[in-house]
Amino acid sequence: MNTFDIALLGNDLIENPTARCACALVLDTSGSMDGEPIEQLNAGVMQFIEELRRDDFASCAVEVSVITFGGDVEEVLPFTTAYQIDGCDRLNASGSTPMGEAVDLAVDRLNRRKAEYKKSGVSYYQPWLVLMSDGAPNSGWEESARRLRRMAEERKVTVLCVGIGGGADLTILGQFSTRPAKQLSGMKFREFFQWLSQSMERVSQSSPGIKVALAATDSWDCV
Amino acid sequence: MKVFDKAGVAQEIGDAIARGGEGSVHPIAGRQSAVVKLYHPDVVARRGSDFEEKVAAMCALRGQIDAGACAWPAIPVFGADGAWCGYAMRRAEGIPLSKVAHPILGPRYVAGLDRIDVTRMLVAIVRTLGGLHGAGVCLGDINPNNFLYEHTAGRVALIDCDSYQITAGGRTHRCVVNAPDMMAPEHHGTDLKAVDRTPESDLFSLAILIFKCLMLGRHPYDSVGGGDVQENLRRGHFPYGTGGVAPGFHGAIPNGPWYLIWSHLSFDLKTLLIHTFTDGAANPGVRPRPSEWIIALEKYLHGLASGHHERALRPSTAKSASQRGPAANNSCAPRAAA
Repeated sequence: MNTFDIALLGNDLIENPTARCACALVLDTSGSMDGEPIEQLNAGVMQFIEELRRDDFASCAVEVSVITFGGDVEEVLPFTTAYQIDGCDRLNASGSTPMGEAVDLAVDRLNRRKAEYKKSGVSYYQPWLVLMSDGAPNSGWEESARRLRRMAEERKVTVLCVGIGGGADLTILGQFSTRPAKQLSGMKFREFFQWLSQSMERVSQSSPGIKVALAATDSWDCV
Repeated sequence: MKVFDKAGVAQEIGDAIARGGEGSVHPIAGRQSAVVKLYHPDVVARRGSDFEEKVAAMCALRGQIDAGACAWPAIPVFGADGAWCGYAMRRAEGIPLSKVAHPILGPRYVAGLDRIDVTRMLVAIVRTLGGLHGAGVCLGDINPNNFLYEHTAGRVALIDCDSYQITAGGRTHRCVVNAPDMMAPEHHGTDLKAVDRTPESDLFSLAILIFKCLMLGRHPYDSVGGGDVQENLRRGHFPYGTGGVAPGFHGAIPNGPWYLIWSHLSFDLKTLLIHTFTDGAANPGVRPRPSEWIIALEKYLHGLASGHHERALRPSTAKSASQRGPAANNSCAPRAAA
């Protein structure tokens, strides 16, 4: 079982009522990701968390969750405020691609987290869900995609889908979002996660309710 | 890089020490105490000659305001091509209130910060604001990022002054920016380019700032059940008011140390805050004025110094009987449903 260590127990929503930006990373760890892709993905995720922790506002405002799909679906890290995430285990690649189930779990967790924010009287920005995959999903993904896209249409979540490598299916990935899926250029995981942490930093410095435009993605995507 | 004053005298400036959406701030070679704000060329183009006029009017107004407390435009500066590109101002130092009035960052940045420090700082802010109102200036975008606190000097500086609303030569140059969760309800949903801010709308935002500084950055309108902060703000649903919702129910004070922290404020301060956030939401005319805030804050300061009030920003125990004032309902606790 992969786990991230959580530095502090206790309810951060009570002690730290900073407006939250939830960021769910839903990541393909199927067998085809073995080798360089999973290495770079691991490094990228670690870098993402480190960069958030280095930024004063983002460290207290951004909550990260990690859900993987490779063989089975696993919530490797439940929503945790960046400054409380400390260390992690590596993600390993194996198995098929249960993308639909992973998205369903992510949506369920996101909705539960919003309910917790409301209960604690904590404001929140529109959450992000980042879906990354290097290949076609197992069958039965269509309803999950429809559900997520409807949430994006209702402005309940910002969904960003990223295809990895030559086997990624951008058409399928695009079904999960209101935006077209992007293709990661080569193995530019570091560049992608740097873009993502900078985007989160900008959001966490804005006022909830003010729309923050996505920065240009040309540092990591294919045109 | 060089910039020029109106007389064509050149000044060498260094690389940017701060960047914002509108421009960047640069040190002036050989001068520790002054900086230059340069606007992005497309901002100058977009905002037109009115903007140059606004900054020039602010420079002319500088003698009438507390220039020691504000990073106020002092002289306009121009590029080598003679085009206006920004202004020089006093260099302001300190930690933004967005980090000071913060449950995690506050203790990290200002170890030992207590209610005496915060109250003194708030008195200075209210005095400066009162002075600006007297000179026909409204701040408009009052938010914790625009105040810098120097702990050792015990000083506050107001920054981003070029966004203020000023009236000069029969013209009002408006404030077109805002943080929606800090803004008075009467301005919500309006086109800020077409709306005049008022001292009363500033006073609403000021009260939110005062609350945040004394309550570890908590927003006054945060309540159980979510209820969008801006919605609560517009309706005057202030959970700490008298006759509030019982703990745990929808609309109540958030769980945790928040009620305890609030309870250690003085009766007068709580009264002013409750008044602003309930009646004062829909009725700008009843919002407490700077003079009322100063009286309450200075009285609180006196009580803190004499040990009558708890000094810690985060007290560990409830207010003791000896700290309670003569009023029967000193703590303004929410009553159980009557």
